Amino acid sequence: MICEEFQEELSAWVDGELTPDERIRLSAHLETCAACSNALHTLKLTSLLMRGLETPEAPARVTDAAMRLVREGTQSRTESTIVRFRRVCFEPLWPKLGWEGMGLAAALVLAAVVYRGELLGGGDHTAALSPAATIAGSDRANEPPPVVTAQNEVQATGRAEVPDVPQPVPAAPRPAPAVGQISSAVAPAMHADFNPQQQAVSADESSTIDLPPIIEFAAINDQLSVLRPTPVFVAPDKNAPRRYTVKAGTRVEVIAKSKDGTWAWVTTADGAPAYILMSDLGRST
Amino acid sequence: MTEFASESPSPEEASASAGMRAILENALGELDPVFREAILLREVEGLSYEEIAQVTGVSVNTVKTRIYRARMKLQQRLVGFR
Repeated sequence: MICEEFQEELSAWVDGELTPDERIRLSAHLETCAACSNALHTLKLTSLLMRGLETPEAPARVTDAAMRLVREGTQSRTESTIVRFRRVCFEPLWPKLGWEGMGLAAALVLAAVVYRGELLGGGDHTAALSPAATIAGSDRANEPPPVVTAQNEVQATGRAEVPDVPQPVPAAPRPAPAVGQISSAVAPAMHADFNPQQQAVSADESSTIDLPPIIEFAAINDQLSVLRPTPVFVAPDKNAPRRYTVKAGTRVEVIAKSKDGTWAWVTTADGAPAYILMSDLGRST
Repeated sequence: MTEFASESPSPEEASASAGMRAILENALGELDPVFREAILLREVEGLSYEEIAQVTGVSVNTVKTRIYRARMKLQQRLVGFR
């Protein structure tokens, strides 16, 4: 099970909402707790899935609250907030979740199922992990991810492209698949050609990264039995390039590989979580 | 080399996607309104916890709790989808 004291911090980590101290504390915990690592990566997948959604209805009281902020002039971002709330309130109902998002959703389902399996597996987190479990998160207790620098990041990416070592599946990190206790009904076969490598990269200097309008990354396709990479669009705004700045020393995690390279999860300088191409690390613009 | 799926979903993918979408929509619809509000403001609108706290009139800690619980509820629902 997830350690109770870290439950909400795991979710806040995904949102880039932890303080530096909280992040350090949770980081240390994740090094030794496979269950929480699993949970973290499942939460990341949940987050990505949600970001594929477009605006549903917003509760009236939210709009009211935003209007109150306008009246009181209490928030510098009031105007943009109000614009957003208008959009929330007046645009049609539920989300349009594209095919790509569905691929991600499938990954989430898999991750969640594995996570549940891990829970059912009891206290031995490491033994409960299967290849699928490494999708959901994984087992840092067994092997902390290697840390490489921005200088050898390209080399690291290249290594990821040559799967000479058994590696976990897409969509969320971590090392060596352990023997699963999950039944074969929920333990998927890994795609033979798709073996993203889990590792951590520490950028040596700040990098500003221009992302293409659409970010693709590989995800597990289709539920539990078939794994194969599927392009998944995760950019909330597909029409505009986005620019992220990654601070020096930022720790990123490789989570997937696509035809464009190896993707990593990173928290950017403004606190926003994002997916970036490993090859973009160290490229300043 | 890795093969990538085409841009267009296969019929199987389409079927799975439609089912998944329905599950997700239902799961969101069944969330407690305050959880739904928090998760949508975060994930769809991109507001920070502080901003969500301000516009919903609760503390940042409450926002953190609501978002976490919303995610857990959604995960529980999606687990059942096959």
